[in-house]
Amino acid sequence: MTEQQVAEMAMRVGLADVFAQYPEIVRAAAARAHAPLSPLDAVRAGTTEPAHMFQAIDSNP
Amino acid sequence: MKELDYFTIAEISGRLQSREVSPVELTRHVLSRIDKLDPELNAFLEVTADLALEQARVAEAEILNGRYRGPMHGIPYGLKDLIDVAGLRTTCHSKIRADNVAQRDAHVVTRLHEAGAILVGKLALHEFGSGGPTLDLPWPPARNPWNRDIHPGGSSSGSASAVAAGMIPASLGTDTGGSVRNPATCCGVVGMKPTYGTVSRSGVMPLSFSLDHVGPLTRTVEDNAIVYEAIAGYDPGDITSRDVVTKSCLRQLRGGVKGLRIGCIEHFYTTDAAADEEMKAGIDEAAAVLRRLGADVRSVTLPALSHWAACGRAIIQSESYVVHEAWLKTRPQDYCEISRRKLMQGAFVRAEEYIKALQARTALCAAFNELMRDYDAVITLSGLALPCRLDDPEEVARTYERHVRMPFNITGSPAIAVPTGFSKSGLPLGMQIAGKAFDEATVYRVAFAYCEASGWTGRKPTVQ
Repeated sequence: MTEQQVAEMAMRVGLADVFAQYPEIVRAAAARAHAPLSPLDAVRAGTTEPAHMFQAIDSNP
Repeated sequence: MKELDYFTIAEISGRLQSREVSPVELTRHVLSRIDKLDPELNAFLEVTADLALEQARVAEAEILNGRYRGPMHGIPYGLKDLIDVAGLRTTCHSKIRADNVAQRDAHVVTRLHEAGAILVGKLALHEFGSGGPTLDLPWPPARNPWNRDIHPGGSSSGSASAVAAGMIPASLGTDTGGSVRNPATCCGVVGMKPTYGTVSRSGVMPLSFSLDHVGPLTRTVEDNAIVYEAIAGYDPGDITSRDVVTKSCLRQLRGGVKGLRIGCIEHFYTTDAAADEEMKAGIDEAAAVLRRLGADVRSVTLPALSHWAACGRAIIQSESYVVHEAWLKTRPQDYCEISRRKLMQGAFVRAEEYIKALQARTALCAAFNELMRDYDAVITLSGLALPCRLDDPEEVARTYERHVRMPFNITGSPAIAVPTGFSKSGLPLGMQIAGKAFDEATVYRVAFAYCEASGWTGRKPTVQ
């Protein structure tokens, strides 16, 4: 991510001041939070049909 | 009173009941041992000596008057310092909460108080159960009794260190992604993450609402079951609390494993991720012990470890940010650097990612439940790597995320960490035994049979 993108993301989530103070940490957090989540898509393969999706959410079964 | 060093609850409770040992005498011994050992280990953030002696005197009077409450009566214990005790500080090992005095007891504290247990202090942790061992906090990190230069694991680091060193026979920790089982493994003790909903979290600082569990750490499986039975039970103050019978663990403890079907989730630590060879040898030997005891141990398959890890990560990031958002925005400088870095990630997780994680969770739970239709319990590793040096932050960060504990936070099923031996360098090895939801009894039964046969829970570190 570019510096500009991180700055915009930080502003969007209300962390503009924190970004000014801890740019490295905010940059790392943004990158880490966007680490590949492709395993989630793989494991939920059977629940992507919209009409059945409601069955697939439970806060803690 | 050397004979009282490393006492277990199972051993001492009979002597307390028969008045051979008094709770006051036992508590004085424990306080003196903490005084002697803790300056080297930093397991305690606060020692509650006056309160402990007051509770001990009450317990002594009750026992003398024939009002023995049960196996926790007169037993000293410690609490991870994110569990509330009315009138005491709950600091969460953080500058943010350094002056936070609890107004009410957590439900688990009330239960232990009612059982007659004696609180001797609040224990060190990774900041808010999230950070890591660091020196940029008001208190130093706890150390590992097996080697003071080595990471004791976390986040319930003081809870494991104090128990392993024989300062106390039992403590409570919390476990969101392995924070009871990781330090239990690193310090060579027994740590249980019970079924989600069996032990109340009211009065306990949350990290990730749908993954948080409270559980006991002890040196033996029997002691662990004693503490579990004391703290488990319905609490209307926790909306996730379940009204289920959880009191048969001790009764079934000595049932043995003959004929039990035990799955070994090998691919988690062979093909999905690389594990330390000594860790693998430890669980291989444990499987052999269980087979010798008559269990039918077979290799089983679940979704890949990366799926569980991605699911857990998205949930923890999202839910923990909700807890910490206001402080992160207004007092970021008051967190340690590791916590700032970890907790800040949640600000950037999109709603769709969280929802996908919840969907994945349902699929993962279904896979686990399907597997458990054919098995009584499963075993797998706890940590993939040996604990590293405490003063090596890069290695701490690297090894911290190399584990196999998250699957059972996602399923909410009971999972216990038990020792499986020692590395050539003298560090504890360990594995997990997990079971069906609300079937702690079978998990304890397998753990007890294995630990009795292997003898690893009898080892003590050199701490004096």
